[in-house]
Amino acid sequence: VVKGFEVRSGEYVVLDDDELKAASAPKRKTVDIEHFVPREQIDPDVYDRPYYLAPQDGGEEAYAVLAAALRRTGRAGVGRVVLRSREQLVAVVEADQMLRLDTMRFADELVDPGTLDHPPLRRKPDARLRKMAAQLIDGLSGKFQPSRYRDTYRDRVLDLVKRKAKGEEIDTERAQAPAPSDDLMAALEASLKGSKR
Amino acid sequence: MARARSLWTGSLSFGLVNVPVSLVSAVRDQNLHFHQIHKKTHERLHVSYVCTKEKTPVDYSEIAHGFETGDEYVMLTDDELAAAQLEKTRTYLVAVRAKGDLLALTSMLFQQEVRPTDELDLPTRKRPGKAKVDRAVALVEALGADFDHDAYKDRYRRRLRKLVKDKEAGETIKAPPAPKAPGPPPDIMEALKASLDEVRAGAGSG
Repeated sequence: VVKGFEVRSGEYVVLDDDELKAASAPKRKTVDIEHFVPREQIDPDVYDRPYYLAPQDGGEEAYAVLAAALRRTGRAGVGRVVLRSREQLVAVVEADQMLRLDTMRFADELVDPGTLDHPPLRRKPDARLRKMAAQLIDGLSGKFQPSRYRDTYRDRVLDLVKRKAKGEEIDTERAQAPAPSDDLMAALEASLKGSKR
Repeated sequence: MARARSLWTGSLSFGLVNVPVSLVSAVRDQNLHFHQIHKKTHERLHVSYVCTKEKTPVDYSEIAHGFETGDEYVMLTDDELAAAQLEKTRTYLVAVRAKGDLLALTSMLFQQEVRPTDELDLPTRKRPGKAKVDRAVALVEALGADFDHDAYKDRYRRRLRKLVKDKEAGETIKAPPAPKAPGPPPDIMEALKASLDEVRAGAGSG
């Protein structure tokens, strides 16, 4: 099996694995860092997949030094690496004294929000509504604790398997979206009362 | 450019407030796609599922999801799987943020999905010397820049496109030699110093 790229309908240019490798053109097996940028300047939408970087024999000290420097400066190293024969844009960041490598998307892989179809937004929402929404957000605010959120889908599928194995009938009714709040002010007020209790 | 289509419509809810919204992917596929071709005939291949018992291709409509429990399978249909959660496919942990005038929803990993670092086979940690860290901080700052996302182009995609063009024109393409990883610096202090000198010299002349 080889790979074929369709240049015209029904016409393929055939490339084998060696030829495809020529597109990766790695000179060295390195993560080449080009710049160190403030971490907060990278929008979360840019990140794709996270990986740990583990120190290799003889590299422990250099590893620890770089991790400490990234921690102190709050910066991420942005560079490129060839992974699975594809050159990737990556960020190297420090987390808990370890180095993590996050693959990133290129700018042209992100959709320009200007191309979205949606009803026009009212530039300035009502000041009272905004204030109440802000109060509600304050009332529901808390520190981010990842352990509080469980992947319940996995649990539910396992439960389903168990029930099915016992020969139970499975109810396949689908969920429906709730109706929008007709009276936004009333909904905000009622929510605020609820969140303060 | 084609307008992005929404992949889900529903409601954003907090407290007793429901905001009707639609979900549009913020990422678009820019990859070059290849078809699988039979080397001998140069014809396209297609994927077919073959039953291990009947040895014959099976139609898509006859495929069920089997969960292995010991030496048996529990069979689930698409409808039964969909009933396992509120929405089709699966439940995501998400963060909603303001991005300009729009709301951006980013899916996140559940903590169970993140590999704990103690599962990694790591050498014992060494506390790095302060002088070395200071030097590394100076180097990080010397190579400091604002994050300019547009400045990084996908060179792989560009090379791949060129490769296809060259091949179409009948050029021979050679694979590059296998890459090697450089070893650790024998003296990290020396390496940091030399790098700093190089960056500073570059900044001065440029």
